[in-house]
Amino acid sequence: MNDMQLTERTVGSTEIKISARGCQVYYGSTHAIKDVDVDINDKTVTAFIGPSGCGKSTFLRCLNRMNDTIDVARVEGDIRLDGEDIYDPKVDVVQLRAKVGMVFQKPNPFPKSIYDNVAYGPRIHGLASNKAELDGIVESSLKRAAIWNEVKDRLDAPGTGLSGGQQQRLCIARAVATSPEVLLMDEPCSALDPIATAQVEELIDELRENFSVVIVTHSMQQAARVSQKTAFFHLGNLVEFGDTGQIFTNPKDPRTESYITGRIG
Amino acid sequence: MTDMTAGGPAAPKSSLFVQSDNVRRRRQRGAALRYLGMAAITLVLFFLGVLLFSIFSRGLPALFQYQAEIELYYDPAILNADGGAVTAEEVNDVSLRSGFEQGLFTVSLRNTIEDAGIDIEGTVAGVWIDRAVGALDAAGLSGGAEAIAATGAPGDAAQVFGQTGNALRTARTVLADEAATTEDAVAAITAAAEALDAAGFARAADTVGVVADIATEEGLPEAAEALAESNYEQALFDAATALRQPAQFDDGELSAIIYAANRRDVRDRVAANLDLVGETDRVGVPIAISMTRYLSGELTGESQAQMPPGFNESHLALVDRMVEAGIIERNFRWSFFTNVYSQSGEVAGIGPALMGSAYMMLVVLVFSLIFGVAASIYLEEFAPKNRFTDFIEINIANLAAVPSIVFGILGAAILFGLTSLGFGNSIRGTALLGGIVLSLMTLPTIVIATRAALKAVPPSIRDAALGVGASKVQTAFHHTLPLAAPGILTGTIIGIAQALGETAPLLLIGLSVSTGADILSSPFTGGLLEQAQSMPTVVYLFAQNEDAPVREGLAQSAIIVMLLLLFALNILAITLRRRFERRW
Repeated sequence: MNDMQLTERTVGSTEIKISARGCQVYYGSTHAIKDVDVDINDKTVTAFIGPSGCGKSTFLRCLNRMNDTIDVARVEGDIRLDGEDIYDPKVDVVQLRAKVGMVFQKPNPFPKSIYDNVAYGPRIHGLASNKAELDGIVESSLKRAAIWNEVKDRLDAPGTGLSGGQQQRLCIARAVATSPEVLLMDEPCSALDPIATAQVEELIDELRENFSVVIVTHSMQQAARVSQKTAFFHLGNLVEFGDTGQIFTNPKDPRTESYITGRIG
Repeated sequence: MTDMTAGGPAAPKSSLFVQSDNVRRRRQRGAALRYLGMAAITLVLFFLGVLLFSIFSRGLPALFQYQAEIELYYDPAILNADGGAVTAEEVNDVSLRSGFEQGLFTVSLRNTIEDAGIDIEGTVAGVWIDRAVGALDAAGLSGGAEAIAATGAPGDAAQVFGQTGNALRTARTVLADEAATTEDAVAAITAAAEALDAAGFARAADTVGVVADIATEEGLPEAAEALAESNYEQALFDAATALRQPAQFDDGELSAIIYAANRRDVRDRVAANLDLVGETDRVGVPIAISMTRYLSGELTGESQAQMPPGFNESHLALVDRMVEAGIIERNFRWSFFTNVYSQSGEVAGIGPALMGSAYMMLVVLVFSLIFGVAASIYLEEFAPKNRFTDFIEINIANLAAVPSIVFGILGAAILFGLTSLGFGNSIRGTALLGGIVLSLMTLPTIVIATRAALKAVPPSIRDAALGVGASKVQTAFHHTLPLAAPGILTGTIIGIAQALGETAPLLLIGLSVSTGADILSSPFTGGLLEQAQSMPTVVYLFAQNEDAPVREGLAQSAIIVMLLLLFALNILAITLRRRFERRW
């Protein structure tokens, strides 16, 4: 595991952004997430790792209530964003999702122009009062997503015409355009080649300065490269949660050790 | 590594060049299926070909009309028989039938024909002389033409032939009479022979003369037999009948050739503008519809069965001359698209039907698109998935299969309900009621198409929209609906095309009896609440007409128009789909 270079392990902030306590998720009669407690720090990259079907994506989708769109899904327990219960009936999911943005596994740009893709979020949330302001948001978002130089000459071109890596960065630009406080990324690199993956990972590291990033990944190398904190999920349980360096070098739980050494999963 | 001997290929376990039984059976099955499919397609194409041929071969010619271009002379003598200045009241009092059609139009037609150098009487007489000569020739009475020419006028010849025929009949009667003496018989026969001779048939006179010899030498029955062998008597009577005909070819016969469809317009025009009196106008007048069957070659006119009903050879000859002189021309029948329905094929049109169908499409578009798309979005994007919505879904699917006549009954029930509430018959047979009934029918089609289109939008787009914080409504209207639009559009147009061709429900709500429907006014000024027709019901009306040319021509023409409309709608659907479909 030479590529698992555990560089720069400084956690950006010790402030807790999201805290989950006793979180349970059921799909119909299936108990998908069992009693998960997690604290996600601000300005930190937190990685969720684990074998397929262990519930890491499901748990991620709980954090901005994307599970609401699945009819049979039921979430129990207490998830707080800055101390506020996000499953409180008074919470409007629209406002929640403006604060907790999401990037999906498969690049899913809208079939609109690159500009409109990025501008859509700011428009519906009323973040820009005029065209110039909107232009500014679009430009800064695309720059943050490290795609500005590639697309600045063709903002009117369809977003779906970009390459897979560019599309994913466009989706990241779209997510950051609404200035969220937390950015959830569900296996953002699984559809990308190594070069595009490297670009996105670099990007995640930069995003850490402004956002709290939660990333689900299948690649332990990726988790080691980009994250400061790592959570290991297995069969719906949170097995171990701690600093990335500690998880990868000195796991406390035998299951974690088996997984990272390649014996299970 | 095992030891491998260098050398040629190993012997195959089974040869690739020999087909195994299993493979052969599979191939045979495949081939059978392929031929079955080809046979089915061929059969379908054959029937389609027959259908299109029967429609177009009859409908296309009916879209053209034979018209007589006549110099219409606004004759003061007809418009005002009393003399003096013509007034509008007087013009309006003139009968359309006797004064205009049989008066003004017929006189003008006669003048037009004669100005073109056609001798009407001569043409008509020529036909009948030909027929008389033909009848005489057939009986062996050669020289008929000279005999007619010798008498001068055909009428005189008819008289001579009639008298000759009578002489022959008298001879026959005498010969058949058992009480008659040979002298009587010889006298009668001689008289007949003399009459024949006088009429110009010398050879026939000789033949009859021989009969007299037979009567004296062999007896009366033998003479009667000999006389009967020659068919002179009947031929002479036939010739006489034919020769009397020209005298009966009057204005009534002439006016039967044309159908003065615009006589009312002409009267109104003259009444409104009295300066026209004494002037001449060039107008096109349709040829009577049964005559057009002769002109189009559908009827040859050579025998009684091939004769257009109501006409005889003399009309045909005159019409032939008019065609030669360029008075009768075949023009595209633009008036078919603007005229109102009529029992008479010459003037019948589909104007109100086209408008009625267009209005109904408008109503259908507004009602079924709004309600259909709204229902689909609700069911697809917002409704909880439970037994109740399942129930609704199943029922919508079932509704699409309900026979259209059931919707007609529903419409009739609405109609009767409104009638009993005191609305009278005001909405009976209107485009509004028709459109509502058709909307109900189209709704399931649109709902099903729209839901399929919404379902086809990738869920990742919904996730993306929800992920940046769009609400469900924003997701639906900003992303899902625009992406589903091509599918919705196609479904809507197909639904509307279906509604356009629907007949049964419209028959039940009074659109079949609104034969008097006029051109509708604008839909914004109450056109929706006027008596309307629709394309399919007007086809039904045409197909029920008593006149064969209408039944077999105009019905098909209306069908062609309808097919073209449907074709255009489908092209529109495809174009819009291509245009709006997002391929990126």
